[in-house]
Amino acid sequence: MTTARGTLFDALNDRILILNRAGKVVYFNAAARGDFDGTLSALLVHPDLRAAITRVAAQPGAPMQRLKLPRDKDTEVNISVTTAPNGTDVAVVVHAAAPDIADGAIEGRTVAEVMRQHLHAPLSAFVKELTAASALSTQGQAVLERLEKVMDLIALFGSDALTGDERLLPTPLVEAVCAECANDPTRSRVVLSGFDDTLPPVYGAGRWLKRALREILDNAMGASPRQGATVEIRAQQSGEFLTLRVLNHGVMSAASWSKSKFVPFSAAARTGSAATHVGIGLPLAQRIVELHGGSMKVRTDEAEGTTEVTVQLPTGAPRFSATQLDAAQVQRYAEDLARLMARRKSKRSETAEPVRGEA
Amino acid sequence: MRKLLVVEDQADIRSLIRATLEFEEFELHEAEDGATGLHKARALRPALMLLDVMMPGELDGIQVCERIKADKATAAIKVILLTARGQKTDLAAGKAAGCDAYLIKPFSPLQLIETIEQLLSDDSAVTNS
Repeated sequence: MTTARGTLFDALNDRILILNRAGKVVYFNAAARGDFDGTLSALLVHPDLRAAITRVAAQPGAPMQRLKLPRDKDTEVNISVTTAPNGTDVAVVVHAAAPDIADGAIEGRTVAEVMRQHLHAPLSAFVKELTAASALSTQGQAVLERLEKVMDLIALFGSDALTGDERLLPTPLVEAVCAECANDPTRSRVVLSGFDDTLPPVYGAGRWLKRALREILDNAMGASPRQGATVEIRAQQSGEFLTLRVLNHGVMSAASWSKSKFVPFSAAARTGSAATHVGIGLPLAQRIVELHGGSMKVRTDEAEGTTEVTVQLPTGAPRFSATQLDAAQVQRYAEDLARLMARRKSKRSETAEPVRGEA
Repeated sequence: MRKLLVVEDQADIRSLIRATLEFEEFELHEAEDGATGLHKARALRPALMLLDVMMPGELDGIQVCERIKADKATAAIKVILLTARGQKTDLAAGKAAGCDAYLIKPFSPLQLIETIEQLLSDDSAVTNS
């Protein structure tokens, strides 16, 4: 066994054994070494494996023999028997079991990934069914809204959830959200200030940013206890940030905000009381804003009876790292390099010709 | 020698553009963000700008283009927008901003040279007529 091959075999999780033609073990890798007292010694005396080894030893270069033998009373193990790299010995590979969630082996996967994988699809299907239902009771509608928020929260776990690079202009973005909220005439009126064409764009996922603004606006409008109250949204550019302030002129209990803000699932049922209106929505909005490189703060003024949600989003596109170069762009340059060089050569010749003429 | 301003936040892309154009007859200038690019455009009055659309900071490429084209002093500068996105809305935004050409990344260096030559020859034809 060469050192390089030994190093390679030692790096594998599969157990590798090399047996000479007499059936004697002449090499085993690191994984096999740690298993001789366990499964491996029992497997090596299994008649099916002995028969496969004998067949390969009798005919070097014979097709690989594949077996599935019991590892214990509940599980099986896959084994391959083939001619060893030296062309005469026999190699036995006992394949490592694939990671299995049922075994509790979720190494390398975050809880969020597991949640996404196991919950998102069935929850989405269920929400679609609910949405398609012709008539839902008020309670049914409330459950549907909460399920949609839970789905979004699951989708937003992990830092890589948002990869959108849409160019989003603040004014149409906020106007679209306001239009969605304007359907209910009993709710607060929204007043915009500072929105004009000079506001810088933000880059991100339009769907998610709309969702965040909708949640903030819904909270502010829901907090206003009376018809005709106003919610003001102010926009301002502050250096490399766009600041959006959602100011609720209605009464909202500062105590309820401070206790429950940004704590997912803290809301009580929607009873119409302003003090119980903070739930999944604001944590969801905060998560979305943070995934866009921004920040979100809530400030309440009990004396004035106002609550202000401030969202800061970086303007312009996300910054690239100094070493990040688009591989596709490099590839494109590489493809055209020969033609580019030919062009340069041609240009040099053209430049040189008059000199030759003068000479 | 005509001035050409490259406004691009990725240093490596600037290097590739520089390598592409080093044998062409241009005086190359560079800026790594929109605000600096706009400032340099006003100060240098280049014949042409290569302008990345997606740049971090106060101004992205579309905004810089809008301001260049809205200012009589700089409106004659030819602007080529460079972007990784080729969606219809982006092309429309570039057109609305007044850009003269649009190259979608990954762009070909030869296509870049040809586009520059085309725009500047059009410019010369107008100037000479």
